[in-house]
Amino acid sequence: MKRILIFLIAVVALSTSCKKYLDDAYKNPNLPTYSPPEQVLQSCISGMHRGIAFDSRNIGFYTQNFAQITGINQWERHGYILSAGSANNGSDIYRMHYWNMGYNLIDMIDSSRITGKFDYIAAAYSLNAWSWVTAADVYAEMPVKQAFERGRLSFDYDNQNVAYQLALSYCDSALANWANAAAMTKPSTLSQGDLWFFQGNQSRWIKFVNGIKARIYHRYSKKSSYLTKEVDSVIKYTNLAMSSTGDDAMIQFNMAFPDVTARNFFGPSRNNVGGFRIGAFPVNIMTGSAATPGGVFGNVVNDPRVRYMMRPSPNGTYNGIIAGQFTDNTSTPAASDKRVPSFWGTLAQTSAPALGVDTGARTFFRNDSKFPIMTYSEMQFLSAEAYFRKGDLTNARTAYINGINGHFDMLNTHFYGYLNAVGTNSPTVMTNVPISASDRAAYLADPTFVPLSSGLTLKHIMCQKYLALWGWGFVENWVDMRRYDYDEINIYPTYKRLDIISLFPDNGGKLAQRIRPRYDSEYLWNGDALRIVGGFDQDYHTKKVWFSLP
Amino acid sequence: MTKFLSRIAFLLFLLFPLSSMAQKTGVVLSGEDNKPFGDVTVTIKGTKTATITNQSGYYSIKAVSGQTLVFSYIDYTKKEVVVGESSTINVTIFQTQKQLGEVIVTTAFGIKKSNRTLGHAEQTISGEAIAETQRENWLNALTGKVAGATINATSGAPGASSQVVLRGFNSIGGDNSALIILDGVPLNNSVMNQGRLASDGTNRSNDFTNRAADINPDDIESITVLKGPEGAALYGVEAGNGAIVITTKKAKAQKLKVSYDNNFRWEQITRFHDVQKVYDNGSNGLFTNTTRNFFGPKYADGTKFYNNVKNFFNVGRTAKHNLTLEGGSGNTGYRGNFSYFDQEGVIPNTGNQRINARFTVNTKLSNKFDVSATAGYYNQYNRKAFRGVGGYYLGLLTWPLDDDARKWQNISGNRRIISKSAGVDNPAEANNPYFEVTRNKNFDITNRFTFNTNLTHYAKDWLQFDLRLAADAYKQNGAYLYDRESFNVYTVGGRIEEYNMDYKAFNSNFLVTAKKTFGNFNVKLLLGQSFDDRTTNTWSVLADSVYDAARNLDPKNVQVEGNTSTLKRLNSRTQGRDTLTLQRNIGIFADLNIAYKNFLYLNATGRNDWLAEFPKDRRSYFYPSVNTSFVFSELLPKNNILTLGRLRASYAKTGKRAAPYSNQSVYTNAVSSTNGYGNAYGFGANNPNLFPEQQSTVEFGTELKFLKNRVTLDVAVYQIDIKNSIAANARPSYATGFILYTSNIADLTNKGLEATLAINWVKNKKIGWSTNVNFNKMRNKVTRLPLPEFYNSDSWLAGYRASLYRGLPTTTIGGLNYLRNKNGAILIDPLNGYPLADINYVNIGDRNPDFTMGFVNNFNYKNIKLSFTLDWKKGGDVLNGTEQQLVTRGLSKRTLDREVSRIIPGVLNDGLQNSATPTQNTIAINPFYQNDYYTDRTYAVDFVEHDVNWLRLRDVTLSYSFGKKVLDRLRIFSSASVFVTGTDLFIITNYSGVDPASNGNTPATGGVGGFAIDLGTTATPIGVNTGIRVSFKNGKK
Repeated sequence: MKRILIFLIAVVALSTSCKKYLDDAYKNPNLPTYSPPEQVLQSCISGMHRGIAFDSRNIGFYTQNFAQITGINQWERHGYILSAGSANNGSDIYRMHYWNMGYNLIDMIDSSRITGKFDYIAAAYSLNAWSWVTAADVYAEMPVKQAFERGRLSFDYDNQNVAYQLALSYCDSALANWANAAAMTKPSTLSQGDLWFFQGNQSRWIKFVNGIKARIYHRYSKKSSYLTKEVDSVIKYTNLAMSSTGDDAMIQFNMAFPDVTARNFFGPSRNNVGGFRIGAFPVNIMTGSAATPGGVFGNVVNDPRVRYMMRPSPNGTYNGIIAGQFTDNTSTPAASDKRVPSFWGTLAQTSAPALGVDTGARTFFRNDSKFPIMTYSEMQFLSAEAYFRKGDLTNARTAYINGINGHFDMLNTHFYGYLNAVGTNSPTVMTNVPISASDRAAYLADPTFVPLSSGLTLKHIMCQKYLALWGWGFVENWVDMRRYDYDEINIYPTYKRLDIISLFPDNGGKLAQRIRPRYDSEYLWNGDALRIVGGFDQDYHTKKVWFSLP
Repeated sequence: MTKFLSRIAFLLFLLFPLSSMAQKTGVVLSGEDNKPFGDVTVTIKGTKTATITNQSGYYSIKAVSGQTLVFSYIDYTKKEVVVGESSTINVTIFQTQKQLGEVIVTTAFGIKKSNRTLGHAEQTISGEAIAETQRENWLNALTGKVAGATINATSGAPGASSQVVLRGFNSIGGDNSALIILDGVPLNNSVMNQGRLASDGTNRSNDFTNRAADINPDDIESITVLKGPEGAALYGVEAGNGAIVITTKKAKAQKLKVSYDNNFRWEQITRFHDVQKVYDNGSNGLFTNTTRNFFGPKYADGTKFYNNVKNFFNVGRTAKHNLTLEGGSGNTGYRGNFSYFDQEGVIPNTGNQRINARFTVNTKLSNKFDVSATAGYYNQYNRKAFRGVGGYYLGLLTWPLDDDARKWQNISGNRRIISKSAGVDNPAEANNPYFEVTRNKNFDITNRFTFNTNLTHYAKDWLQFDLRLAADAYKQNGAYLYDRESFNVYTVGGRIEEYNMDYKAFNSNFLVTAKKTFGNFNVKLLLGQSFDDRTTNTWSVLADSVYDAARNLDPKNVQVEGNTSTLKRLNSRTQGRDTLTLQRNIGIFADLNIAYKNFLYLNATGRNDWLAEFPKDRRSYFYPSVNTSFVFSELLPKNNILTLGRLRASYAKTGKRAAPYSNQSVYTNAVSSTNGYGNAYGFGANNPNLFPEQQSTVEFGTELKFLKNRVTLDVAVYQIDIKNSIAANARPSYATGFILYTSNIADLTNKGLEATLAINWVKNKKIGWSTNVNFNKMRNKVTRLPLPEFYNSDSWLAGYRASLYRGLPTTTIGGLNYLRNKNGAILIDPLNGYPLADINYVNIGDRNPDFTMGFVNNFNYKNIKLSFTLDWKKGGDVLNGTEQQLVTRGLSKRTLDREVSRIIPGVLNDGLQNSATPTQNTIAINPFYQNDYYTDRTYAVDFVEHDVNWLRLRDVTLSYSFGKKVLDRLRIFSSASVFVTGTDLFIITNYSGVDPASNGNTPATGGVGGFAIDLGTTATPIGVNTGIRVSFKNGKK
């Protein structure tokens, strides 16, 4: 008996030590398998900027935010590129959504639940909701229900609205957890994770989440239920969203970090938009019809913002490039030199200023320019459109004025150092003067810009919104344009609809409605599911998305 | 303690009265092969005193004159010998039934079994047959000698790696090399994986010796190849690739024997690529030497051409010296071997130097205990050249023929550059191959120790304990250096990467064996336990700006304050990486053998593994196997035709482990656009649900011996079903949450037939002639793959890669193919008349041969011996990547018709291509003026050579042993022989390149890898060896 006992004890002792022996070798010693949410949130926030900025180089052509100086490109022609080499143009948001956010957020939620960090759970849900909305806005049909399912290798596509519904539920989870976060007894470390976003300010996060909800309900504008249901939700959530420009969701950059890839994507250090110029359409919104025949508002004076947002041509006028009509910046005709300067203040065709010098760059194009994700101004324009659709023109006009003011405020507040009232191309002369109150007052008093409520049109609201989102709100602007079928007569006058010859040959005369999902991901590795939704059709990118359909 | 002392005293007390008994020793030999016979029971008739011979056949027992010693072993006729005065009693025992034809083989864990009892296929090769091929890497000597073994040598360069695959590729992402067992314990046979380095390399441009090559073939007694997982099933999760079981030589002699042999080898490359000599450097018909393309004008008449390729290679030289001491006294035997090997490769400045030393001692502590210990030291210094794209060979092929590549230095002693860019030397020009192998360095040094101890305790005549402890440790240091002038690094001022790898393995196994006879049943049960503990740690540092021009010209410049060179080096970019891998496995296992009479045998094994690489709740895996052997000839009347006939059947479940840590995703530093670094998951997925790959194997076979063993035929058919093979870093939809995904995704099958025919044509005292024919046919298929394609990114060498597609063979090549309309017509680009390619990689070939055959012949006439091995491969596709390179550069003779205008047959891709009336292509192109026809529109599909056959003379050896008369006259030798061996003396092939046996990757890449993908690899050199082999006389008794 004694022997048996000794034997049993020995077996137990041996098996426990064996267990430890194996456990010791299990964990990866080379790289961390866990990261605190404070670290992970930083990279996810940065992902928002990367995704939008990368794909702005494609979406920005559809919306005519941008034009290319060196020649017409596929995107200006409402086409796409789908080949092994430059296959993934326009699908960085796809990568951002599924990979940058993806499991980083899922696991952040799980690990923060264990540690009771409700603020990080809430932030993760918030970003997740934003990411689903943004990705669905761009790609429409995408894997939603089966996405992130462990072990699964093929993913069925769901309707765009399924993604919006999921995002809505994430917004609710986010709000519930922001409420929990407010009741947290231990000190919040959120300001470490969102130092370059909201600096730990939870009420701004909550406004951001309400803004996402407003965007989602706004996507119902063509549905029959809209006027009875979702329109009030848009108004409700825009009211709960940003209440002033101080609430704007802005990504900032840490210039102390030596690696230039940590800087603003649009800055000269990154050298990503050297061949790009402002499109003619946004310029037309700001400049008077005298200078630009066929202007948007029929104004005779320029919008004061034009001097601050862009640089004039050598002849002193403000010009953009009409889609499909690239100009040759290499020749310099003395008489009417309407060459369009680059965003960094240079006239040469493509090169960046030496060593990434950004002193000639304005607004969104400095190396350290903030990058807006959602603004008070945008929310007010959402509200204005909703009121207008309801027929409440008085409130619509109020929100419209708020929207314009919000944009002035954003420029004056967030881009104060990068404004220039001097109409010159010299990169050295920067006055750093905000847009003056008198200029603003004059502008708001001009009935061509701000008519009485009876004269307010959707064109006013949508074009002012377009302008307020120019340079950052590429996705939202594109959503609007698609919702209004690129209406270049009533909503977006002077938006240049290319003729059927100039459009991309696969389009069959139609304009772009969606970006094809990422080639490296879907065309190569999830083709069966993509084929079912028509992803291999020649004109798939022109197929209308859910929010554009009645 | 007191108890222990009293026992000693008791033993001493016993010794005195027994001193009249004499120690009787001797060696038991097996009558079949005259080799030492272990495990033979030696008893003194009428007493309980007994002992068992050790693996050298040696025994020692105390007996007095007149007593009778009984030697017994299962299935062998008992032999009785009356003890006389002599202290040495050597006996030979014979098999009971047939007296002939049975072979004792060493199986898993060094367990010796009679091959007639085994229900699965195995094949045994003598160490001598391996050694006499004089291969630097003994794995290569197995080619043609083992049915079912495929040897993929990476190249013919010194120290090149080689991979042995038994019965086809069983894993799509894991290691497919056979498990190598050295004296009962696993031997590390890894190949340095460049993925562990700071540069995170791709296992294509460099090569590292597979570590099993450290073993000196002269130390090998025999090799048993357990071909399928079923033979190796006792190794559980490690058994999936079959096993190669090496038994090393032990001391045999009782008095000191000194032998020495040497080998001098000369080798030379005889097969080169042939390039066109009509068109000069240039593009679109115009001369320019800023490109290494040859689409220029015709060479002027009388242009002097240089045979740069042939001039480049040297005659390789190798010297090997091998000294062995063996002997013993009383119960102890020892053997020591020292060998020195020095090779200068055919490529200038390449070479391989090895030192091997091994010492074994075995002793019998008492008739109850056997102890043996082996220590080995291995040292290798390997100097290599870069291969593949950017390597010396493609550099050589593309060097202009009208320039003498041997002049690689300019007057300043720097790289002579032949092209100008804007009037100055163009440093981006591809390296001169002489510069490449002189100034760029690439080497590694390995120091390895192995230590192995065995303790056997014969507790009862039916009960035995074995304990085996083994340690294997090596350090591999290596570096490569790109000279600052090298074309690929001139912008950063040179580059060096240095690494240091420590490998340490500890292995223990403990076996308990019990035997008992129940009537007609002989039962043997083995229970065992093992620990496997392997630690690999790699440190590497990569740095740029290690050289700069100012310093190189005047070393004193470095001292000057503020000198740019100092500044540059201070600013050099460095990066480092430390990769630690722990692999631990605890296993318990059992092996039950039941023999019914002498004709029916049943064996069953089971093993449970606990693997540290899987999480706690899912780390235990069980692997069973069962096999049976039925010797039906025992039931037949005795006859002179069928000497032995048996049928075999076996079934096994085995596994294959995952790479450590592949189920835990890791965070990496993400350069964020905000706060510098944040943490985020890397590209690769975590897959916490990962589990070992599962294999189930069924095998049926027969062994037939005719005419008193004159003819032996062994046939085996098998099917291996692999479930849930692990795809490492597959590319799925990003909806997985990751860009690369590791998971159990693929099912495969491997089916095959192996046959061995052995014929002893003549066997008498004067003449002997025997032939062995080995036949192997395999078929493999991917039966499940939920992705359109899985490929190994290391094998993505150019427009082709090792791809797997559902329903196609695992050995498929994926590559670029023409885009076609629904009727199969090639689609033509309406803009220029060129053919269009499918952007997806599609199946373009299957590398699996129809069959392979090896013919081994041995002749002897008196003292002359001749043996040779022929290796025949029939079918199987080879991708000729070198030819593709030559075509795209205008060097291939295929491009000589470039001045002929042509219209590519096909239809325009103009929207009508799939209509009833597609537009026929009428756009004429003239490649002489439009060389992008070659440079951009050359697709891999055109370079797959289908059904490539070869017949190779792998090795041939002629040796002569000096007769007694000569030896007596020489006095100092007890034996002496001379030999001449030739390797790879000829190849007959329909392959258009120089050598169809090459590998675009090293075995470290995992999965199917790059075998039969030929890109920038030189032909295997032919070699001639000669040497002597002598044993010295020892006058002492």
